[in-house]
Amino acid sequence: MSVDELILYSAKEVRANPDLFKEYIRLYTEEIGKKPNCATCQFSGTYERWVGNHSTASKKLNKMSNNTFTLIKTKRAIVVPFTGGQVINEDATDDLVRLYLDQVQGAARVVREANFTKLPDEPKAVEISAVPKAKRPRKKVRNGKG
Amino acid sequence: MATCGNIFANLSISCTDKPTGGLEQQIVLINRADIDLTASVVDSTLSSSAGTHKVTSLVCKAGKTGYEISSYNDKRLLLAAFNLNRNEDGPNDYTHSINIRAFDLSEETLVFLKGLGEGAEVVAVIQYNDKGALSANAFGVYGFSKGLKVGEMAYNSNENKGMTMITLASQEPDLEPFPPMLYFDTDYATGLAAFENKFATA
Repeated sequence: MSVDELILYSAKEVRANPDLFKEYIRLYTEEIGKKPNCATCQFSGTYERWVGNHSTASKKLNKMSNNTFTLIKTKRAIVVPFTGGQVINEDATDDLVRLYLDQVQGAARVVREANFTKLPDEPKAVEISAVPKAKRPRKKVRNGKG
Repeated sequence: MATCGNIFANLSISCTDKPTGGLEQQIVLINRADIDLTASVVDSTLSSSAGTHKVTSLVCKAGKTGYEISSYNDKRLLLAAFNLNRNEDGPNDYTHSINIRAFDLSEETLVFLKGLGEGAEVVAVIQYNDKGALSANAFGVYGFSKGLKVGEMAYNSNENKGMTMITLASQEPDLEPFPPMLYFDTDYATGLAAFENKFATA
């Protein structure tokens, strides 16, 4: 088990599961160079701090959507107008962001785009496979008379 | 020595946007403790030559929401106000206040009143009738720094059509340091969507 996999579990879950607990001791010791403090009263704090140090990796794993945009740091949520309260957050879809941006044009769009450090990628064009030409029925050629 | 008390803007009347006063008759009240201050963005500065005074992002904590108080669109039953308190022995401060009404005496309403009476501290987001050019001045935030608390609550079966009159206001010593801020998130439509969503976070 890797660190990224382990930190998806809460301190309580790790403490209660001997296999997870053993993995925690192993990974922590490998990284820090000494065993973690596992006394009951200290365990949660030590574990949470260790998880916090890996939060970036954790976020990546927890991310529910494979979107391609990035919100600016100061913007955690944008409620998209006329959608009954759909929210753009880090897990939102690219389509929702495109919908938000496409609601306005020109300078107003530029203002909305400023909420993102990276805009969503263009949607991939659907490849339409070439339609096979229908075979022309061959004329039956009668002997010598076409 | 810092000099904060300069002015650096002209005030002029717009011939096309005449002042009319009044509020749209929906107010969103948020428990002050439910506002996610790490996700909300306040852009409020003041120097001797420039200044800003707005909230550009207002977000509740996870699982929290604001609550809408609404009234008749064609009347002025909901009200917002602020005034400066001049202090000779310290910095000046402001009293922000909101007047709302409870329209019935259902259990839900009575529990709402009880919560206010027991010390609820709220922030109010209101929408002015006068919204300014591009509706940039549409929303105001009252009580953001110190919260609004119940000042008056009065019911009389023979007055005000049996509605309970409620004043939520800054209370001594927790008065506001500045006038109410604008709420302006990206553009009017984005701010309105957040307002209509009551700034809720799932």
